[in-house]
Amino acid sequence: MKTTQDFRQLLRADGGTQHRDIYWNEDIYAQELEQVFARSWLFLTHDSLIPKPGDFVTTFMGEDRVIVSRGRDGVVRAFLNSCNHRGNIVCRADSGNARSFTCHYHGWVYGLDGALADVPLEKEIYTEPLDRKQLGLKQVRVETYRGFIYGNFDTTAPSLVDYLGEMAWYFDTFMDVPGGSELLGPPIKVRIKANWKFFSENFIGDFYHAGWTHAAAIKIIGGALGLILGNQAVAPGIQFATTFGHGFNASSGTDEIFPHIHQGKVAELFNDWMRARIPVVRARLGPERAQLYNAIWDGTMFPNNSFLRGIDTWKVWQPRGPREIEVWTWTLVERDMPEELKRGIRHTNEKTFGAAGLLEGDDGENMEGNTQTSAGWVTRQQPLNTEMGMGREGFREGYPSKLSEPADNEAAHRNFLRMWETMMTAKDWDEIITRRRQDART
Amino acid sequence: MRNVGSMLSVEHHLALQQQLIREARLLDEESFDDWLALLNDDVRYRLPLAERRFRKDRSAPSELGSGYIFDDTKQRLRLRINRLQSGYLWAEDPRNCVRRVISNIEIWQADDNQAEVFSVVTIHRSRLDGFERQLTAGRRDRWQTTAAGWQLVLRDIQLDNAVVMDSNLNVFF
Repeated sequence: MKTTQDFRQLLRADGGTQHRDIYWNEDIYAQELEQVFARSWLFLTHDSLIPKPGDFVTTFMGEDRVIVSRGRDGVVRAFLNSCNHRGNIVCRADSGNARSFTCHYHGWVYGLDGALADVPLEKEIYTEPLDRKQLGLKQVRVETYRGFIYGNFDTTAPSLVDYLGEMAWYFDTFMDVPGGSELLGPPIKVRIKANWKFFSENFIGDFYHAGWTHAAAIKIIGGALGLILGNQAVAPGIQFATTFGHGFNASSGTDEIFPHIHQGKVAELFNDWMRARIPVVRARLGPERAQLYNAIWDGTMFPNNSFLRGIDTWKVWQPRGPREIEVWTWTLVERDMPEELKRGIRHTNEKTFGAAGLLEGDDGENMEGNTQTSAGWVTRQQPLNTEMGMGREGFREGYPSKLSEPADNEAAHRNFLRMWETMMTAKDWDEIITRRRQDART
Repeated sequence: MRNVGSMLSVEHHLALQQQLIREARLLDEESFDDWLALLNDDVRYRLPLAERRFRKDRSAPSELGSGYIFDDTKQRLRLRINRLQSGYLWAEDPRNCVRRVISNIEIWQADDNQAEVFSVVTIHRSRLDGFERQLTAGRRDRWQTTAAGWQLVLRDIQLDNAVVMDSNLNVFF
């Protein structure tokens, strides 16, 4: 395992510069799978996507295949999607409803809880009875935050709520409202040949790219978004950075409904919804979160779960080696929204950040470019830079985490990378917690 | 008037087949305004999300249906074309190589003055460094005969991959 000393060559202590190896190197990636993905809370699915007993989805945690299913007892469990006989994939469907999962190599059957339920001809062909407990599919630790289901392979990791830390307070802006929030699926899946961290970083704090990368979409959609076209003006906003590496931007709220890109009937329904809800959020959660509720967000939960509020997209950047990802995209809505509004929000999400999204399509080229240039040995020795907004971070009354202004900023990037470095070098969660708490205070 | 499900007259069949191939060339050449003129004002252009579910699984995917990659009216297609023509679309500057192959064409009489058309499109794309991507899809269309020739009324596209193997879909199927 590389030590903090080794990583000092790869990442400056404040996170302001990086060696390109961290976005290219196979050994570093292998270490990420072990020390980041196998120890963090990773997004799995939402209660709303597996509502009934027997409902399941298959997904990934890092590159580990997992099944997430709701048992007959209503409890959601997750376990590895690999048979313990010779390793075959057990369930090859993306989702559905099942009574059990059968490996189609020898017909071994696993229950909705991952327990080994049946082995054909066991008595006749095994000299000793099999230890069913040992051979059940390895369980993943599962916890849910307001319907959002996460998994962690590390039994010593803090609880999901503790891992969220200050982010829970921020998420409550739209999760701790009457009815809460949910996701619409199935996820759209797209492959892009770039390192996963470039995407996490882009969503966690890169408001700066929007006016330039997405110029074409902004030009044709127009409206209030036009302010940032061509990066001619700084948009008002705040960037938040939390203890365990999560972060996001929020445009500054005003009394008007924030500029959004819904159109026609959907825009009307959306405005009606917001007008009715903002006072509810203010009464329940206070003025800061009412302002956040009425804002556009872009953010990331460490390591690879990103989201946009306003566009209402929810994403996981599934790593596929150091130079490729598969991005999964869901739509984020509030449970109590009228069906027509939910459909409209999903349509806007698909239109902007789906596989044929008017904005999503712009980002792929950049991330691939970021990654591919490191093929050159000389290029790979040139550091990358995230020094935007250094020295501007502080604390503010009414908010639980560090923050800085404006949203054109890289404080959240630096914080994300410092969390990454901590996980790559810390021997256990006690050390991660100690180091991160210290960082969060300064 | 021919029976529903029968073939069109040879003349009509050839004219519509020609239109399909011409449509592909117009898109390859980035003649988007000409392409849009082939589309009926009420056109629906859709590519639904695919999901891998077990064949015997009868459970409903979701109350709100599965969602779409494309779910466009003529107005939304116009918006996409405006983006392509905006002069700010960095991913398409310099111009990329794109070539469509249209194949497996079946044309059948539908009701009124419409024809039901099945076809397969393969889109070859090449960008920086000759990096190639290929997308294949099946299409099920409704075309309508008008004074101005055959117009597209409906296109339902089925992408032959549950995962989109390209970083953008700045192309029409």
